[in-house]
Amino acid sequence: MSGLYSSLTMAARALSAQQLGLELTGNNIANVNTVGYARRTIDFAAVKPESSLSAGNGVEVTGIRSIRDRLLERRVLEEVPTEGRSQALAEILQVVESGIGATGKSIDGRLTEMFGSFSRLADAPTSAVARADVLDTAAELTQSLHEMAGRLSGAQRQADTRVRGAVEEINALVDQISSINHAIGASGPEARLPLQDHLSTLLRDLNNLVSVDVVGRPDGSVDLTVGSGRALLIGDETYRLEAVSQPPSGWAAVETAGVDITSELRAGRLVGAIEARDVNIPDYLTRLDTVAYELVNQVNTLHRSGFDQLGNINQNFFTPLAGVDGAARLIEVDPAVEADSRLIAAAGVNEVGDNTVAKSLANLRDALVLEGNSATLVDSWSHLAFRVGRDTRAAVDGLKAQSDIVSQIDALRDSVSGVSLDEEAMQMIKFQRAYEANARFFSTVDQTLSVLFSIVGR
Amino acid sequence: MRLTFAATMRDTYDGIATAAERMIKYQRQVSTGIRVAQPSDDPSATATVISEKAARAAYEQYTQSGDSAESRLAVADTLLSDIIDKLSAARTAILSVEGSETTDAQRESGAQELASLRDAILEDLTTSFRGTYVFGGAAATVRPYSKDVNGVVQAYAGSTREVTVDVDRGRPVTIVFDGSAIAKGNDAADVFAAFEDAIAAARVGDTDVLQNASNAMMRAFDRTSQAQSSVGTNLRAIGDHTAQLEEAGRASKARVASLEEANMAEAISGLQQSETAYQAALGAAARTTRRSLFDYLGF
Repeated sequence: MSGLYSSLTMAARALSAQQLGLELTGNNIANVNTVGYARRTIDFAAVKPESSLSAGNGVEVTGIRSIRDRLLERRVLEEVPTEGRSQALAEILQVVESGIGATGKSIDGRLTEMFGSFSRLADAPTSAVARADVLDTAAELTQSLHEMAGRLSGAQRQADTRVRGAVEEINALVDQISSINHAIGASGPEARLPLQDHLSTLLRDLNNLVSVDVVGRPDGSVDLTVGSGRALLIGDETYRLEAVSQPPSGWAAVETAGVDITSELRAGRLVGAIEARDVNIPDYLTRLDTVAYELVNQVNTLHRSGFDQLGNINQNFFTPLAGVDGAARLIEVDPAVEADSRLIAAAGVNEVGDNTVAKSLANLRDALVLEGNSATLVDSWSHLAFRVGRDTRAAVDGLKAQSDIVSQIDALRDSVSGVSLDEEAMQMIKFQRAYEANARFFSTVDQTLSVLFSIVGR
Repeated sequence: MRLTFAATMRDTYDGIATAAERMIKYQRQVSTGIRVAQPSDDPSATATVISEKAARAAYEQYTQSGDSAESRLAVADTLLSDIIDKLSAARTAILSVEGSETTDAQRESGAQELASLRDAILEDLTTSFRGTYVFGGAAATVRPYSKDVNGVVQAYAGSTREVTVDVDRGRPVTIVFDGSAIAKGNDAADVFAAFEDAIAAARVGDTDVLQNASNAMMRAFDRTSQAQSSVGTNLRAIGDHTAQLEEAGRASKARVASLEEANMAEAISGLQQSETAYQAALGAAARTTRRSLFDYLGF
């Protein structure tokens, strides 16, 4: 009798175990699209028999595990920051590139037009139309330079805004990770599984923003450092990053505990934005400013040596600039010249029909005045456009290459931790059939007991 | 390797996105005809195209300057021809009044003819074109020669500085001339003074003065011929340079086209291929995403 009762207990335990397996399969299927979810698997073990003559005590659930490959997860965290850096650089530089304009219709076209107008002035130095043409083309050029400098500065401001936004996002993520650390510490092993899924997602998001070093603790929680070992999260304790405006530019430096760690940061979207803001765009702005500054200097030098239609000499064409910095933003035609085209100095001698200076001004088009006297003004602009194109292409290509790497590692991680619907379908059948068989066994034992009870009852 | 639902979906999406990106790239090339729409499409080509377009603009500007100079030189050429004709006629008129058998009426007629020829030359040397005097030098708006109240032509009032324009790199062409270089040159007095002397001498039959005046006109004739020869040389040079500039412009345009413009045959072929690839990616996605073991098990 006791054996049959044991069999009933064994069947009931087996039904529970198979039901749990079925539930686990349902949970895996439910989370098939959950980012960071690692599939669960159930561990069964035969219950130890009470004696050597015992048939056994059936099955018991020894645990539920999530299937993870720590090495692959670490590889993802190592590669994601580089992808984030390339992504931020590509996004910002594509905005910069969109402002460069079509060849022949941007700064190069405006420069060419202005030199062309000086050439037309040389053909007819006394022509009021030719003089008005010079002023018009010069105004268009200065306007284009202002707009280009404005677009580059705007892109730089947007990059700075991204830096500040990234710092806020990092702090928010660290806060969330801290909360998860706390919850992991307070939870049992089974309850930690979803927390670890969430933690894995947050760590990936954090590394997309900035490369952090992750040190795992025995309970599954993590400590985080950034840069040269600067603490971000130790246990439950968080150390906030601050975006602090730095004079004179006002751009944000990244600080922790009052220390500027901007140069220590290695990769991630934050670093991409910093790089675009502090390296790429300033280089373009300096090149643009240099073109504008040299244009002002060269034109003014020639213009001052010439005579205008009223016999005046030593008159600037452009308002002189103090230095290269901000030249593209500040370049202006001299207000007096702008107001009276007769003040344009076309003559090399005090004779209104002379065109020596106008010809020299037109010939500036071919003058090698930049980059160690090896480039014309238009050449220098073409080099700027080349650099923008090259940097953008490198960032976009880098992003594609890095995304491929991350995708491949993701695929490897998925092959271990991801949910396969075919596999879950098989699991579902497996647990369903096992449940049916155990239920049949339970029914058989029950019928056997009924037979016995009916004999006793007679 | 286990194939998971997420990986399959991601690969499917990546395949569709890659095919779509490629298709849009070719579609843009076909619709715009441009291969290099932004610097990152081909940074080196972008820089070269900027330089080429600037060079082409310079060629066009030089061509315009050449056209403008050509029309001005054509006027100068006509005027110089006229001056040459008038100087020849003046010397013929002097010859007609030099003989001892010439009557007073003939001498007066000769003097009047000389005065008429002087006025014609004066008119030629004070012709303006597009607002500036052709033979006034850099003074441009100052009439180079004019008569006083007695009808005597005054000394040259224009500039001795000639005006040139560049019709190509390093190829200047004179478009406004120093009138005194033609009318006077290295002589002590200009050709108008020679005319005044000749007119007075014709009336009195002073052969020596007439001979001196004739010699002065001959020198003026030589200077004018030399100036006209120079104009002719410059006109030919402009023609040559214009042809060279047009050729250079065409070559530059071809270089820009090869760098910047799409190869339409290649682009259309690429569009067709990428369209097929895109449709295939969509078809593959439709097939792979709708089937799993669940479908066969009848769940």
